[in-house]
Amino acid sequence: MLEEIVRFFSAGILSIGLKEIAMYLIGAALIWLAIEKDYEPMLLLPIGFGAILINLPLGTVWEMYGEPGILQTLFNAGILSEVFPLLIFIGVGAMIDFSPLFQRPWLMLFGAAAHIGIFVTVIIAMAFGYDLKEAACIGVIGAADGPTTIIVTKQFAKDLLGPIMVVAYSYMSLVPIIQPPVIRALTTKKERLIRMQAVDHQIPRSVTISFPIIVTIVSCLLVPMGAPLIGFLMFGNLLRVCGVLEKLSSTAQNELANIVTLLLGISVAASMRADAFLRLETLGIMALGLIAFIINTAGGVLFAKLINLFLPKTKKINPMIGACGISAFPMSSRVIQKMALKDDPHNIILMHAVSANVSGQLGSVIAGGLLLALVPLLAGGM
Amino acid sequence: MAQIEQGLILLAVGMAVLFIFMGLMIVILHYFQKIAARFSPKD
Repeated sequence: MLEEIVRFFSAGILSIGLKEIAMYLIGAALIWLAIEKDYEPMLLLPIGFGAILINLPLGTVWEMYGEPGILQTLFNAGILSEVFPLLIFIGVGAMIDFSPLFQRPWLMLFGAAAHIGIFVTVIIAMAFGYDLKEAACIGVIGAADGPTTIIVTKQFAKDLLGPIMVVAYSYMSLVPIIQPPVIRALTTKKERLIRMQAVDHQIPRSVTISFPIIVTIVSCLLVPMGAPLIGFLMFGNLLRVCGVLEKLSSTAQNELANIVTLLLGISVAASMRADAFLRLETLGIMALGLIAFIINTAGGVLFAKLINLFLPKTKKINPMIGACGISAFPMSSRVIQKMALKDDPHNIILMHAVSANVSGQLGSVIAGGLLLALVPLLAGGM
Repeated sequence: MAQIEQGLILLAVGMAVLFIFMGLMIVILHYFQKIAARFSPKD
């Protein structure tokens, strides 16, 4: 009897190995980044704590007495079912103000150009031995769009969900560190000093209300697989702009987004079990995710420079705007405005940057839908 | 080699669809704004 009691109490201690201890340190590092460095604390803190929780002795938060534990229940109900990322999209849609884009619709082109990194990284990842589905999940990290990354990865490579999510959210929080050096390397000071004309005309209310509906229909005609992503994003936006659902819009932006973010973070951490996370593959994902991010930024900047070749001297675009075509909204536009002010304290390009940035949000969702549609087609032909 | 080919197809089709979507939205927004402005009540 005594022997059994000793065995019972020692089982937990004996089940801890070096891998588990490494995961506690990684969890602690994520919590430190969230608290001390303020890097995406809403996500990195729950992910960090969840990483510790899931690697506790005997993994009881995942499974207990053969029954699913709380984290497994949340993971299945929220991540595998895609409920959490889609609910987040309602909140994101309700937070986005597309009106700067209506003033300058041509800036939508940057939402396309700044997603080239996703597809280029797929090719690079395949050259390093990843199959098409895994490569697509790694490439989509470059979109800087957490919910889209979750949905694509859940569809194609569930085993990689842990490392890909941690890498994706870490890089999203590192936009202020990753983008500026890339932009500076690709532009001259003269280009960064370019001022852009302010545009300000009245937007009819019917346009702002119709926009989410038109976007949903047009995008789903082109990419039907993206319907859940774009549909929920635009539903959130419709709540915001309709003008008669203030309470729902506010709930989507605040309570809903906060509750789901909280649950999403800790559920994602459920995929961070030591055996699945501590692999050489994780380092590869980190490197390739960074490459995707850099190529996306470069793609937007170089596209702006390309357009400038055809524009008269007075209408040139500040190429930094191109870098905002990624989905990290509004962080990317803030970073670009800060850079512009550093070179010229009177150069206000924020609204142009925001326009490119919100189109980047659309671009990442369309790109996600494209991967969901094209990858199985191409993989089927292997 | 076949894998790289798949990646290139994905790149070409993906970027083409993205630009087509954005282009379509620019055209729709441009004309829709004009039409909406014409029919919106004037002060």
